[in-house]
Amino acid sequence: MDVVLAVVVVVAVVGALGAQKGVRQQVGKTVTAALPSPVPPHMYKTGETATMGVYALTVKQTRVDAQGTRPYVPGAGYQYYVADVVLKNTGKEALEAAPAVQMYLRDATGANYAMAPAPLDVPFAAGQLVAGEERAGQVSFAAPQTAVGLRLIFDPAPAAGAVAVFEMASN
Amino acid sequence: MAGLGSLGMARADAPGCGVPGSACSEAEVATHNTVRNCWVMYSGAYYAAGSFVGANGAVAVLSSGWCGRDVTVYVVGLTSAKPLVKDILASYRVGPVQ
Repeated sequence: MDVVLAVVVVVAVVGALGAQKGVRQQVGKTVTAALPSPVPPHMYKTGETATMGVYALTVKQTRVDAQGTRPYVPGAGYQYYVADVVLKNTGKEALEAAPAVQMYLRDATGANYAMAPAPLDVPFAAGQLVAGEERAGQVSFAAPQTAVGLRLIFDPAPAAGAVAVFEMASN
Repeated sequence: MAGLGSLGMARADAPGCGVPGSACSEAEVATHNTVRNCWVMYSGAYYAAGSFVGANGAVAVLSSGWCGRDVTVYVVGLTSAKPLVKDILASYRVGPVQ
């Protein structure tokens, strides 16, 4: 009996040491894995749909309008960037679409560009979408002609911290 | 969010103010009265109108003097430009003025 107990104790001690060693190794690996730069957010391509909660946004196509048409003429050094979008309410309650505060462009330097009036065939209409409703339209932005790495950011709940990032046409 | 500043939203706003569909008081809208932080009121609603006043190279639909103010009387008084301004406003609505 005493011999059996002793064996059990030895096994338990060895097991505990082994477990501690294993933990140390795991911690070491985790720290090493966390050192590389953060993974960039997923980039949606034209035609793809980003679903964020009850919002489902599809960017059908994007284009650049360098000249505009009176009265919409971009300022010197700027041009219009236009996106055809479809926004769907996939929830069971009405929601609000307000692209002026939910969508903007961001360039590679982190500068943001808000929606800006431009010549559009079908401007996206802000307002309520009832459950299941889908609304199509165009949103436009004015940004420098020299802007690099422009992305369309969809931020359905401003300040909530979750955004979808879409590729945007450039020069 | 990094985007808030350039879009005219501020963390000092009342809860919900600037969130799509949420109401803002006239006093709160009135604090957004600069070219880079420009909201206007029209017919009982408020609009994120920074680009209307020529920010970021956009066409100036309104003078910056309208930022933070109610443009209803101004828009009603327009003639040829009224449809244009009303069409633009339709895309930039954020929520009602309480």
